[in-house]
Amino acid sequence: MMQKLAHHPVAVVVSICAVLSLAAASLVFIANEKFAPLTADQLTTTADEWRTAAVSGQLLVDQLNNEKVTRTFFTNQCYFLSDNAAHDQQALQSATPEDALQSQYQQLVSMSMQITTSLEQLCTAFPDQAQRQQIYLQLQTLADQL
Amino acid sequence: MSKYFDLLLGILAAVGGFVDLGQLIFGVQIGAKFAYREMWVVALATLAIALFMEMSGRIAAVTQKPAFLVLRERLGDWLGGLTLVAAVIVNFLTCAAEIGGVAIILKLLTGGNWLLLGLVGGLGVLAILAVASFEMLEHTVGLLGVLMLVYVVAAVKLKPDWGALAAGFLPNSPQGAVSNTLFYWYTVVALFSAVLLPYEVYLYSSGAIEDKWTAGDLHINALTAVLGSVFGALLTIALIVVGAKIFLPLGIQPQLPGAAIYGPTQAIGKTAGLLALGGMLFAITGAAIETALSNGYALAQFFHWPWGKSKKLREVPKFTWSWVITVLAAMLVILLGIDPIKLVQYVIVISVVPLPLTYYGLMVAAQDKGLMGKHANGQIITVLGWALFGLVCIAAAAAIPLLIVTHGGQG
Repeated sequence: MMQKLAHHPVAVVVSICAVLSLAAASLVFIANEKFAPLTADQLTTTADEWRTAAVSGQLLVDQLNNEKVTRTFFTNQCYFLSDNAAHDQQALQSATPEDALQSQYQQLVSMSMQITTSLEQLCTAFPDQAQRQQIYLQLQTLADQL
Repeated sequence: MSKYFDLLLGILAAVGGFVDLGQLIFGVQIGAKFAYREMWVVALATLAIALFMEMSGRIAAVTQKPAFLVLRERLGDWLGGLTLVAAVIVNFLTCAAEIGGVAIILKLLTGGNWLLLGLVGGLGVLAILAVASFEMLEHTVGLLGVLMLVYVVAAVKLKPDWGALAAGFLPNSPQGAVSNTLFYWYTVVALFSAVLLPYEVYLYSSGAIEDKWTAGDLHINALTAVLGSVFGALLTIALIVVGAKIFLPLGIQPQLPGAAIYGPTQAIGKTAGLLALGGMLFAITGAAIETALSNGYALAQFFHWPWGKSKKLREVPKFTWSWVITVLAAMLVILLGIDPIKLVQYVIVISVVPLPLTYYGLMVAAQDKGLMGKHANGQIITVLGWALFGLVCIAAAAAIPLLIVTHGGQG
């Protein structure tokens, strides 16, 4: 293979350049996403994502209450939701909003923490229907505020 | 008679084999956000994949040359090599995402440790590839993916607005906020790319050689490519309906693949949910196998190594090592903690970038009368093919800018 490649040095150079330029574009993109301040549009999108997390928890409770899914599914889907929420919450906390958006940002951080905690509690709450219902209502309240 | 039985199996396998993790996630998300507005994209992408699959099968049957050999001959060593590098990277990353998808579905079905399930997913794919013949892979894994048809039944039972669904087949763009419009076009490119992922063409063309197709099998080739793609598109439409009926009214866009089963559970019941999970497991496993195998085919055909899944592993060592290394490296990516859902969302959009090179090579070869003789593209197919190729180029040019302006598809 190396011999064949050696016969086509330009193809090798072009290929390496293409791969490196795609990698460079990815790095620029990631750096921009990580360090640029949160805009109003991004904050709205992030709030929508947290609403999705809260309503997804409620939907999962509905599915279990109506015996539409197994307990294994409920528990593990809940862990996926909760892990994603914990990850997104870390990302949100490490973000920097534009100055004018500070208070909205702080409010969203606070709600994201409550949603993350509720989802964590939900994953271990499936044997207790009353506790499940209580968490359902907490999520409902949080989703309504977003 | 056995050819027609093969045709039936091929079409059924295409139904399961057509859907992978990316289509599952994007299909439901698109329905949840835009209802039926992107049906026209499904129609265009299905037309394109059917056309290009038919061409790649026809070239293989008539010339006995698989896709990557033809691409190298037509594009030359530079561009052919660039296409190879892009295809190998895209196949590898897609394989990683699919193995992660297998682990997700296994976790939803059985519970269990994530790392262990990642290992089971990767080693399972490797074991199936090592043990099964091409025919077994083609028929068994694909056929088990037919369980996905539970989504079609669920979509009908969810009673979609058929008028709005039909209207979605006319190209349209949403009004309102710029960010919403940009996100719409991002999902258009993603859906187009998810249906047209290049591994399907490499695999189909290589399969034609593995199955020893000749010019006498061209009608089987045309029927398999067209009907398989159309039935596969039905599944994508069903996933969009599930998104539109279950999640749109709640105003949410879930990204977890497990959420897709709420359509079958809501419309039919718990058993349908389990069938849906089973279908997803086999369809995603099939996609992981296909992407790994596609890397073996691409590398072996480009460098003129002996290849073939019908041959013994030790008779085709470099081909075998290519897919073994792809699966092991893909498994490692997942075990290192990369999120398969985020990975597939990026890979699907980025994979549209090298598509023009693949389809350009196929178009040039398929219309070459010197190569194809009387089986070269006719006028209608040539015009249609170049028009669809133009759309592929537009999607490729728009993919990265849309990814950036939507902050990685966040809307």
